[in-house]
Amino acid sequence: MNNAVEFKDVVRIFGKGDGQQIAVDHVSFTIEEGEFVVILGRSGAGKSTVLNMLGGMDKPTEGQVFVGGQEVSAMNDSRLSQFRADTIGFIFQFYNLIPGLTAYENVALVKDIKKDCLDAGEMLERVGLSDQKNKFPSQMSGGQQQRVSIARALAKNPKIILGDEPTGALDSETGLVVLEMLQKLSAEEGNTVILVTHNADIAKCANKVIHMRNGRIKSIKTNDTPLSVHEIEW
Amino acid sequence: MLRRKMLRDIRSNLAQFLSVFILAAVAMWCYTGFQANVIGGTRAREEFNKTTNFSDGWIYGAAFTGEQASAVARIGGISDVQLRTEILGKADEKYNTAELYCYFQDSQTVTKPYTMEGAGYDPADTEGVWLFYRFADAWGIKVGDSFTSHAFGQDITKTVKGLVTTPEYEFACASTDADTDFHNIGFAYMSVNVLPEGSRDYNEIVFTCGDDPLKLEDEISSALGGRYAFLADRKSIDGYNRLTDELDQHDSFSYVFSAVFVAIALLVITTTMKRMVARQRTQIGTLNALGMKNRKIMTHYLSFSVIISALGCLAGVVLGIFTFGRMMVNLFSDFYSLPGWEPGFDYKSILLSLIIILICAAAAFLSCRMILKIHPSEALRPAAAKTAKPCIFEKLPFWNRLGFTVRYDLRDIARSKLRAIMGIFGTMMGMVIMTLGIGAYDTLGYVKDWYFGDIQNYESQVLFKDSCTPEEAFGIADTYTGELISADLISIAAEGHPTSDDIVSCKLTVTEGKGLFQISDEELNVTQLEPGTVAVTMKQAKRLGLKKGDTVYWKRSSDSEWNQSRIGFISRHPSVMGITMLRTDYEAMGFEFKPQMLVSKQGCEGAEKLDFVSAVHSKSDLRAAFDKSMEVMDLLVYFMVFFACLLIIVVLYNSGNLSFNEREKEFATLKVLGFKTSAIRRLISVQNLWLSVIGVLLGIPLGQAPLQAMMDSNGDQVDWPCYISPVTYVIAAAFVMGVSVIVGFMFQKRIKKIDMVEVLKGME
Repeated sequence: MNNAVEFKDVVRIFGKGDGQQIAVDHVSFTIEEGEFVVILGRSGAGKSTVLNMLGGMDKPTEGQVFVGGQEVSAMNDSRLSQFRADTIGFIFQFYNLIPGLTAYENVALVKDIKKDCLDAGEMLERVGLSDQKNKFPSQMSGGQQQRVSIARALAKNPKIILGDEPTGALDSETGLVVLEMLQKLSAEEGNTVILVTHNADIAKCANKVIHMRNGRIKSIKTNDTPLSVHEIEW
Repeated sequence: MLRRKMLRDIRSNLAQFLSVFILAAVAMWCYTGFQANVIGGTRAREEFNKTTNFSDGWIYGAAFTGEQASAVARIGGISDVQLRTEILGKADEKYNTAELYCYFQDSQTVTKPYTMEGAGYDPADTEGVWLFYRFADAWGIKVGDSFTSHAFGQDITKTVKGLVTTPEYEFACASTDADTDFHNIGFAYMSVNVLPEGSRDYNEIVFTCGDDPLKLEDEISSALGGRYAFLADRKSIDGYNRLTDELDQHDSFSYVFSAVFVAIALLVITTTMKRMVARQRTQIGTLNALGMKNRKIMTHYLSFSVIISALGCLAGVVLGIFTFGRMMVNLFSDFYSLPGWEPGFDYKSILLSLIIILICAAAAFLSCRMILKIHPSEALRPAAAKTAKPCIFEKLPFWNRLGFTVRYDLRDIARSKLRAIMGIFGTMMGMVIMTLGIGAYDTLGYVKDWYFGDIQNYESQVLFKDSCTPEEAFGIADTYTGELISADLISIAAEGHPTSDDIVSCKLTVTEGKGLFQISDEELNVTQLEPGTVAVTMKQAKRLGLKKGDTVYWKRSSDSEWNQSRIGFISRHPSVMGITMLRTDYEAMGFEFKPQMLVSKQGCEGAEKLDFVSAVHSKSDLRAAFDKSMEVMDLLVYFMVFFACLLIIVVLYNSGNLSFNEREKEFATLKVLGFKTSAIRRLISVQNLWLSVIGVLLGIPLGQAPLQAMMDSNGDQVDWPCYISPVTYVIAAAFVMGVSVIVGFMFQKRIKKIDMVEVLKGME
C-alpha cells in the first residue's frame, strides 16, 4: 500500500519569544491509503494542529507534510486552495454549513470548485437525506446537518476525509450513525479517513490510532481487528 | 474593566465605529458650517438693521409732503417715518456712468447710512456726498475726493465726506450686469438742499413698524388720501431680499445635508451594534450570570454609540465653525455688503449634536434590548443559527439556473435586509448628492449656453453713456448693423388697481425685434414677439397668475399711470425678470425709446472711442465676467461632490465590511472547502455591486427635483432651469460602481488572512 499521508519531523510553534508555544513537537508518522485513522488525545495535545497542517490550513514551522506524494507544507496559498478542493474532504464539529443554502445547495456548491465532483443528489441519498434536500440547515437536526456535511465532503470525491471531532456536538445515537458512515467510507469505498477525537472508544473502530500528548506522539498502534461501530460502548 | 472592554471592542470594530464617527462629524460639520454663515449673517443683519433703523415699509409715489409723512407716523404701529427722494442717476463718465441711486433727505431717522469710513451722513451738509463704500473701493474713490453724479438732468459735484452702506444694498447689481460688479452700481446720499427748490420732490416715505407693513395698507391709504403709487415691504427690496433668500437656502442645506449623514450614521450604528451585541451574546449572558444588572450592561453598550457619536459631533462642530463656516463667510461676504459678518454659532448646534447622540443611543438601545430580554441561562449558550427559509427570489422561474454566487448573495440580502437597505439608501443618497453637485455644474453650462448662445445672438455689446442721444444711438446702430435695447424698472400687476401685495417689481426690456437680443419661451425655444404683445417672464407670471393671452398691467417706476399689454407668451431669462416688448409697441404707447445699449454681431471695434459710449463688451468678456460671478456655485459643486464621494465610500466600505464580518465564518468554511480568495471576494463584490446598481437607479430620478429647488431657492430674480446631462449620470454612476469594485478589492487581503483554523474550533 502507498502512503497517503506522511509527516516528517514536523514542528509547529505558535507565538514568539516568551509567549512561544510548541503545539506540535517533532512529530513523524505515515498513514496508508484507505486506512481509518484516529488521532487521539486530550485537549491541547496538538491533534487538531496536526489535522490542520494535513488539510493545508496551517503550515509547519519545521519539517514536511506530504499528502498523496505532494508536499503540502511547500505549497503557496493558491495551490493550497486547489489541494483542498481536489484532495481533502472536511467534516467539522459544528458542521459549518452555509446557513443561506439548502441541504442540496450546500452539497452542490462544490461544483463551483471542482469539475469532476459527484452528484449532490446522490450524495444526499447516500447519507439518507434525499427527502430533506430542500431544507435549510436551521430547519435540520444536528445529526442531519452533520450528514449533509459528510455528503458535501463526499461530493468532492476526495482521497482523504478529515474530521475534527465530527461527533463532538452530537448525541451518542446520532454520533454512531455518523461514525458508521465514515467507517464504511474507508472499508467499502477505499477513502482514507482521519478523525481527531478525545474519545478513546471511537479509537477502537480505527485501523490505526495515533495517540498524542503535549504535542508529541505518545504511541502509534495498528489495530488489525477494528470493532464495528455498533460494538463499541459509548 | 468594562471601559477597557469597550476600548478593545471599539478597536476590533474600528471600521464601523470610525464610519459612525465620520458620519456624525460630517453631519455636524455641514450643519455648523452652513449655520455659521446663516447665524453670523443673521446676527450681523439684526445689528445692522438696528443700527441703521432699517425701514419695514416703503411708500412710493410723488410729491409727498411733511403733513403726509406725519399722517403716516400717526398710524398705530408705525414708529419712525422718513421722507426721501430717490432717483436712479448716473455716476460721472470717468466712473463708466455707473448706475447710481441717489438719495436726498433733510433728516435721517429711518434707513440711516452706516458709516464705513469718514464722517457720518449729515443731511444738512450741502457740500458733501456719501458714497456706497463698495463702489468707492472699486473705483479707488477716497474720502475727500470730488465726485460728480448726474441726477434730475444736472451734474452734482460734491466732496466725498464718507463711505457708507445700507441694508437696502446688501446685494447690488447693475441692471446691465448678470451679477455683481461694483464698478457698475452704487448709491449716493446727499442733502435734499443740494437740489434746486423746484426739484425737491419727495417720492418715497420709508417707515418702521416692526410688523408686516402690508397689513397697514388701508390705514396708510386713508392717511395719504390714496395719493401714492404702491407700498412695498422688505421682501420687495431686491438688495435686501437676495441675502434673505441666500441665507434661507443655506439654512435648508444645513438641515438637508446633515439629515442625510445622520440617517446613514443611524443605519451604520444600528447594524454595528446589532452585530456586536449578537456576537457578544454569551459575554452578556456571563455578565448577567455573574450578577451584573441589565442596566449596567445596557449602559456599557450604549456608551459605545454615545461616545463615538459625541466625539464625531464635537469634531464636526469645531471643524464646521473654523473651516467650512469661515470659508463660507469669507466667500459670501465678498458678494454681499454686510458689516460685521463673522461665523456664528448658537445652541442649535449643541441641540442637534444631542439629538444625533440620542438617535445613535436609541439605535444601540433597540439593538441591545432584545438580547438583554433573554434569560441569562439561555444567553450563555450560543444563539441558534438564523432561521433560514426560502427567500422571495426563489420564486424566480430561473432560480435553479442561477450560479452559486448569485443565489448565495440573493439569499444573503434576504437574510440581512437592514444591511442591504443601508447599502442601497447610502448609495442612493450619494448618487443624489453627486448628481446635485455635477448637475449644478451642468446647469451652469446649460444656462451659459442658453444665455450666451440663444438669448445673446450677438458678438458685442455697446453700453451708452447717460448723455447719449437717441440720434447718436440710431447712428451707431446703423454703423454696426445692431439692435438697440432700452431697459427700465417697472412694477407689474394682474389687475388695473392692484394692492401693493399684488405688485411685482421687475424690469422692462424694449427691443427692436431684430433677432439679436432673443427671447426664450417656457421651453427655452427662441420665440419671436408678435407686434402688439409682450412677453412676461415665467416666475413673475406665475406669481401673478398670468398666462398667455391675459392682460398684464405695468408702470415705470417714475410714472404713476398703469399701462396694459396683452401677453403674447410666457418667457424665460436667467437673470432679467419682467416684461419684454417691441420698440414699435412701446413708442405706440407714447413712450420715448431711449436706448441704453446696442448689440451687434460685429466686433464694434472703435466704438469705445465714441464720446457717448461708456463701454464695449465682447461676448468672451461677458462670458468671463459670468464665470467669475459663478465662483460661489463652483464652490458648492466641489462641496457636494466631495461629500457625495465621502458618503459613497463610507457607506459602501461599511456595507462591505459588515457583510464580511457577518459572513466571515462562512467565508472561512468556503476557503477550507477549497474556494479561492478571488471567488470569495466575488461574493462580496457582486453583492456590493448589486446594491450600488439599485442605489444608483433609485438615485437617478431623485437628483432633478432637489437641483431645481436649489436653483429656485435663489429667489424670483433668478430663473435657472436645472439640467443634468446624461454624462453626469454616467460619471456619478461610474464613480459609485468604481468605489464598489475598489471596496471589493479592499477585502481581498482580509479574505486571504481568514483564519481557517479558528473556524474549526467552533461556533464562537
